[in-house]
Amino acid sequence: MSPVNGSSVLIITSLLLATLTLLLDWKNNNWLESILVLSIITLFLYYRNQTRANQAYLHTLLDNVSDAILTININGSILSVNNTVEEMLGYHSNELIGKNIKILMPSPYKEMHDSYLSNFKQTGHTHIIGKTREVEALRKNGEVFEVELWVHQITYKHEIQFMGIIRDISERRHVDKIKTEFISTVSHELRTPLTSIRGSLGMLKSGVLNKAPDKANRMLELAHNNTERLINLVNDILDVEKIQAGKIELKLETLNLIDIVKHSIAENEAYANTCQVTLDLKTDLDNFQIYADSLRLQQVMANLISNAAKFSPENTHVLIDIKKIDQFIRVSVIDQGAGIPEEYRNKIFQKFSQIDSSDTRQKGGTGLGLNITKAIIEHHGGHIDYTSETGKGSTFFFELIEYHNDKQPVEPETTDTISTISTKVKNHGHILVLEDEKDIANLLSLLLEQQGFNVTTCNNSEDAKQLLANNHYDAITVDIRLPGQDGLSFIKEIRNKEKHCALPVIIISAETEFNKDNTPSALRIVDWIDKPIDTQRLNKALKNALKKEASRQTTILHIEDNQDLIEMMSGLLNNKATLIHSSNMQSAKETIDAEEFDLVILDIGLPDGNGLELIPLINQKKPLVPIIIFSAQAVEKDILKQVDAALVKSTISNNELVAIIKKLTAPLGTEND
Amino acid sequence: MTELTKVLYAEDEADIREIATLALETFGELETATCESGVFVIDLAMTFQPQLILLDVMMPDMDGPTTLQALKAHPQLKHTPVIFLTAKILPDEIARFKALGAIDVISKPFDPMTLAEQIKQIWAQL
Repeated sequence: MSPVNGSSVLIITSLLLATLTLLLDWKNNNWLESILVLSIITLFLYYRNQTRANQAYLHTLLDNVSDAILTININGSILSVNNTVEEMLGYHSNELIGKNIKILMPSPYKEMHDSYLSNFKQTGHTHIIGKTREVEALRKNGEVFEVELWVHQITYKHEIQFMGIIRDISERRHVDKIKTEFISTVSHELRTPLTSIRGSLGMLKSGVLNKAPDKANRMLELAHNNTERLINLVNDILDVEKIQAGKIELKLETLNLIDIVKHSIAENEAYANTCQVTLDLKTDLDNFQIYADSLRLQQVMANLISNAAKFSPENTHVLIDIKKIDQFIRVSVIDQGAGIPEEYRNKIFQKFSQIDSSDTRQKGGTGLGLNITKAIIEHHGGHIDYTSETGKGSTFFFELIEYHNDKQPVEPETTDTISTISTKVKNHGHILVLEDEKDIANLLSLLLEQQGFNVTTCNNSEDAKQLLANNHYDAITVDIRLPGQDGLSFIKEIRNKEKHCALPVIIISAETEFNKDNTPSALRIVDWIDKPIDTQRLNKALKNALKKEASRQTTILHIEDNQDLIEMMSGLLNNKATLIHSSNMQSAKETIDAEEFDLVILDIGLPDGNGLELIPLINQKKPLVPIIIFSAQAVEKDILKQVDAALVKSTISNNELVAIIKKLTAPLGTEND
Repeated sequence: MTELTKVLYAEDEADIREIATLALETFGELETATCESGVFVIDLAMTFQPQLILLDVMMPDMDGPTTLQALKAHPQLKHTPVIFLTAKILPDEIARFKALGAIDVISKPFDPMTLAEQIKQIWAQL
C-alpha cells in the first residue's frame, strides 16, 4: 500500500522557514531565539521520522494480513494493492495500478461492475457497500476461484474511493463439498440397513404375521442381519476417525500369520457363499511368526476377502496365497473380477472415495474399508498394494516383516520406562527411541533391531536427557507429542549441548497440525516420518544419517558459471568444506537431485536460465538446506523470504562471506534459532 | 381417480424389496411387481402395466433418475407417475428428483405399516 504522504510537504516547508530564521538570528547574535528555533527543527525532524516509521509500520501490517486489500477510484481504476493481492491474484502490483478492477473479475461480475459504479455516480448509493458477498475472482492465469468480498466507501483528500477486502474461500468451499458428499454417502449407507430393520420389525409389531411364523422368522432374520451390517458400518466410521486422529491402538503380540489367515477364510466363507464365490488357500508354510494385533489383522483379511468376493463373478474362485519373500511374508487375495481401471490407482486407498460414487454404482459400502485396511497394515510397519488387469481380475497384497522369537521385544507390562533390546544381529549403531506410546515404541524397536540397530527406548524427555548424558547414541527418534516437554522443545534443548549438537534426529509424528516446512532449519531434522511409520523410509533415513555422521565434513553446492569465482570460492573454503560445483541449470538440477549437501551458494544469471528457479527444487530437500544467493544484483523482497541470505558480489568482503557460510553451516545448537 | 391397485417397485437391496413388497401387499392390498435395477423397469412396466412406479435412486447399471428420464421419453409410459423411495434425502437431492419429474419422494427408512397409505394419498392428490 502506498498512499501519498500529504503532511510531508508541510513539514519540509516549515523546516525551510525555520532554518532561514535560524541563520538570520544567528547572524544577529540572538542566541535565545536560535536555541528555540533549533528545538523546533529537532521536533520537526523527530515528528517526521515518527510519521515515516508509523507509515512503514502500517504498510507492514497491511502487507502481512491474509486478506487481499485494494482501493479503486469512482471509475473503477485500481489505486493501491497490498502484497496479498499479488499472491492471491498472481499479478505484480505494477500490472494492476491504474487498470480497471474488472481485470480481476470473471463474467458475469465483470459486466455487472460498471452498472454498480454508474448507479453510484447517479444516486450516491449502491447496495453492495458494507456487505460481505460471496463472488468469484479471476487470477492472472485464468483460474476462477471463490472469494468473500467486502467493499467499503472511503474519502481520501475529498475524493471518493472504494476499499475492497478479498478473502480466498476456495479451500473452505472444497472442504464443504467433501463434507456434504460424506454426509450424503454415510447417511445413505446408514439408512439402507435401517430401512430393513425398521421395515421388518414394523411388520412384526403390526401383528399381521402372528399367524405366519415362517414369514415372521424371515423378518427377524432380516432385522438381525441388517443390525450386523449397521454395527460394521458404525465401527468403520469410528475406525476412520481414530486413524485420522492418530489414535489407532494395536494390541501387539507374537502370532502365527498362517493361523490368522486360515481363521479369516473360515469366518468369511459364509459371505463368499452368498456371492456364490469359493475361497481357496495356497501356501507351503505352516508357521510364520509376526508381531501384530490379531483382531486388526482379521479385520484386514475380512475386508480384502469380502471385497474380492463382492466384485467376483458368480461361480468363480478367490485365491488367498501366502508366500515368503526374504524376511517378509506376502499375503495376496486374488479375484477374477472386472479389474480396476488404471485411472483409479490414486483413489483406491483414499477414504470415502469409491471408484464409482454415482447413483448407479454396482456395490454398496462407504468406501472406508480399504482406507482402514491400509492404515492397519502400515501401523504394523507393513506395506499394502495391488495389481490389476481389466477384465481378468485384481490382486490385493500386503507384506509384514518376520518376527524372530529369540529377540524379545519390550514386554508391554514392564514398569521400567527404559529398556534396551539386545541383539545378535550385526550392530549398525545405537538408536535411542523416545516414544510414549508403548505399542509404537515396541514396534519401532522391533523394526530397527531387525535392521541391525541396537535400540534403547524411553517414554519421556527427562529420561531421554539422562540417557543421552550417560551413553553414546548414533541417532535418536523423537515422538512430537510427549507427556510434559514436547518433542520439538526437547530437540531445541539438546541442540544447545555441545555433545548432542550434531546428533541425527528423526521425528516420528502423527500430528497434522505441525507445519514441517516451518520447523527451524537450525534443528536439523534428518527426516520427519508420519505415523503410520514407513519402515523403508525410516531405515534409509537412519542409515544415511549414520553414514554421513561417520565421514562428516560440510558439503557445499556452489552453483556458479564464472570460473574465477569458482576458484575464488575453492580457495576461500579450502579445508573448511567439500565443494560441489555446477555451472549451469541442467547440471545443478541433476546435482540437487542426486547429492546431499549442507548449503547452497547460488548465482542467479546462469547460461541456460535463471538460478532463482532452482530454489523450489532445493527447498524440497529434507532436511531443509540453507541457501545463500550470491549474485551481481540485489534480489527482490519476495525472493529474500525464501533464502537465508542474499549477497551482492563485489559489495561483500571475503571474510564476511566466510563468516556467513560458517554461521549457516555451524555445528547445530551453537546458533540461536 | 381410479383406485390404486398395481405398483412396480425397482430396488437393488433384496431385503428392502422383500419387506416393502410384503408391506404393500399386506397393508395396502397392492399388487406389486419388483425388479433389481432400472434396466428392467421399461420391459416390466410394459407387461405388468402398473398404475404407479416406485424407484430407488442408487441402483447398479441404471439408477433411478436415469430410469425416470427413460420413462418420460417412452410414448406409452410417459404419463405413469413415479415416486422415489430413497435414502438420498438431503434437501438438494430431493429438489433434484422433483425437478426431474418425480411426483414425490418418500424417505428411507419408511414405516412399513403406513407406506401403502402414504403412496395412496399421493395417488389421490394427482
